[in-house]
Amino acid sequence: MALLQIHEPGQTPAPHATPAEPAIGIDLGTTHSVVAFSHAEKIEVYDDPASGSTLTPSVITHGDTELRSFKRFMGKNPQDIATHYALAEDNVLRFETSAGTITPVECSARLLRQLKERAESQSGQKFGKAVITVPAYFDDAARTATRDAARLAGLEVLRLLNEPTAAALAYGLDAQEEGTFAIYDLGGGTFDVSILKLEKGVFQVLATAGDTQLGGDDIDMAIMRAWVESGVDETQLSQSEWLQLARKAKEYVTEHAKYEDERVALSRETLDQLTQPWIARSMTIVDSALHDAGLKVEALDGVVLVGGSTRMPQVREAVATYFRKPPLTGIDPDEVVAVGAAIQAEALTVGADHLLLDVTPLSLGLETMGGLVEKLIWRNSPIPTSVAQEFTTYQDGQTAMKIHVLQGEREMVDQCRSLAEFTLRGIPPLPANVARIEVRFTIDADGLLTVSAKEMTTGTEQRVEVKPSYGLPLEEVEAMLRASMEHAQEDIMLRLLAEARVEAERLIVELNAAIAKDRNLLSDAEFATIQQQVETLSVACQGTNREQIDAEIEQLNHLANPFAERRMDKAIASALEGKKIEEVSS
Amino acid sequence: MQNYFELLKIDAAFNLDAGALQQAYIRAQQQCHPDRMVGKSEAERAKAMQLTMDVNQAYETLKSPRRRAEHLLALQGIRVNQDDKDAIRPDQSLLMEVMAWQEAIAEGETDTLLPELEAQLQLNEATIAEHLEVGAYQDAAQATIRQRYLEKSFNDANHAKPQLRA
Repeated sequence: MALLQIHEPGQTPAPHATPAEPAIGIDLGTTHSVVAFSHAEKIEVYDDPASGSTLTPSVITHGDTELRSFKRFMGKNPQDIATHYALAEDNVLRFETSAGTITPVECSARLLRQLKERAESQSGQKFGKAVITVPAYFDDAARTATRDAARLAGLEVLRLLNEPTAAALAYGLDAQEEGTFAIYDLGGGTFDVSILKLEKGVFQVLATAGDTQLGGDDIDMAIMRAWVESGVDETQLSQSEWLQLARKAKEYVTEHAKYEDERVALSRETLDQLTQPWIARSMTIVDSALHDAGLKVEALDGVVLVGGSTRMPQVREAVATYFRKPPLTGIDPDEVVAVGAAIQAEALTVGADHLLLDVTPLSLGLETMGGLVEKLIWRNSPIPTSVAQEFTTYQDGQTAMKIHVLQGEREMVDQCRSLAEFTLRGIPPLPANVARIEVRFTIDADGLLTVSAKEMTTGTEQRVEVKPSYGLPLEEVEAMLRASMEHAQEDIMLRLLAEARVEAERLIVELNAAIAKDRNLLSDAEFATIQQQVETLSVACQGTNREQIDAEIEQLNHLANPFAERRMDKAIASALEGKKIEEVSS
Repeated sequence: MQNYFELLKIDAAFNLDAGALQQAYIRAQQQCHPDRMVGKSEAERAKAMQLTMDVNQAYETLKSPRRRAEHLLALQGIRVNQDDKDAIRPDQSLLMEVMAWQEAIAEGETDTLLPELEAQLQLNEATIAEHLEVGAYQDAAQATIRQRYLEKSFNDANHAKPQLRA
């Protein structure tokens, strides 16, 4: 594989003083997985000794139960899925097997360990790190689940790389292509499309879209249903045997006009009909990716097919018609993703000349009043990224705020995926619309989100961080949060004293700020009384009597209350002026 | 606040060539992306990460003409895309217009509304450019606010469309 040779002064990464620890690339697929290793422009794709092929079936056995397609359940809660597999006792999805239950993360970990050991035994070296590919359209929970599975398997994840981006990297470097390309990736369980610009070794994803529940599996299911509907006796085989037979027939019809055995038959025409709705669905997703990239289909220089399901002639014809040019098929659609992952693994351990610039597939936002979602990061924003937005309280004296993090494109909370929910406490009690809470969303290069919230009004930083977690009960998330907020506290009394002082300080700072702004709302006598009480409170704060501090705070609050009310009236008056336009536009 | 034009090393102007912005963005990423910092210290990598995030924000902001105008105004100390009391507020006539657009969307008149909004978006973008050109920032701010509401209504109308077809 020829790498693009672009050396700009000062940009070629310096060679290592010590040899970097080698890292593998893994394509963790729904039906098949592939492991590869890239070193010094040579790429090794390791064979599965059982099949003699580089494709390893993504199947594990637990007890005597065979588990397949578990990738589809990564990051899902039981309530996300209507299936008899799910056990909902602690809101963690588990498969029931003869040897007890097992989670999708554990299944993936078992498969990853198997792939890691294969690479080790065939290459004769140890691998502790990997680049693992995920569908571009995987949400935060599914990405986190994949990273956790790798950890369980003893692999440090160097990067979660989007599958179409990995394919583009392998293809683009190999063919030395430049221009704008669509990667149409139809695998066993997931569909992704990414629009990329390839220029001088930079792979810039312009837009990505997909469906994590659309793939070859669905076509197998449709074939099976069609057989049953046509009167085939369903009891002859188990469901998984039926699906395997459907898959076999589908693959046969890729090269022949008709499949026939003693039980069933499948003609090319029937398969055309059965695949049509799925392909049509994939094309509306392509529409949306092109729209987000701001491109018309004519602007593309080519379309690259990735994923085993793109071997189907039905898919190839539909793609050629839609893109108005024959798809580029000069690469192995099964191996290309793992090869791209291996190239990136080398880039992140040894260095490389190319650069990948990816995007986040789904918008991220917060729940606001009325169950609406306020988006902080829009889909197809380049990552890594960090965006902050200020929110305010809506009630007088509000000291806590619910932060509900959502992922998705819809406007209402219940239409989006809930990633995390926590309560920010310790907001100083202020009139509505005065407190300022900064919520910051940070997405790292793996597409993983971190949320932090900070109370800005008093300059006292109150910071909590949440890694959204999948399938964890809310109580657990809140317990984690409480722990993170309380970690520094040794003595309960000292803490209460410290809190009282902070509270006093907040009140004084806030009051001074308010007076600086609205001194005209206070009579001279009121102003003097308030100033005097501020002084009394300050003196109390220098002592260690918490109860006295609390009492002086209360007294100051009492004195400042009429002032706060006048400010409120003023705020309401000015808020009303600007309100109508926001109501009609939201 | 950060000056995104300076960060990308391009001239601070509303009229910005898309190709020039793209080139500046890629150039900046090639220099600061953390993936290029293999073997560098943790501190250097953290700095690169911050820089990359800023460069991505700069690119996203300057790519959209409306957000670019907002950024230019913010650099002049004029806040339009904010909810606080200091921010410039839309005027009453715009409010009436927005209500009319929303009504048209609710009535299913998107076929006539969409081309109208599209034309207005173009026209108003030119207005923003003119005001910014001569330093008429208050007028530019009003036109920028108008652009936000035009965009919002345009998106709403586009959204409403397929549902009517079904």
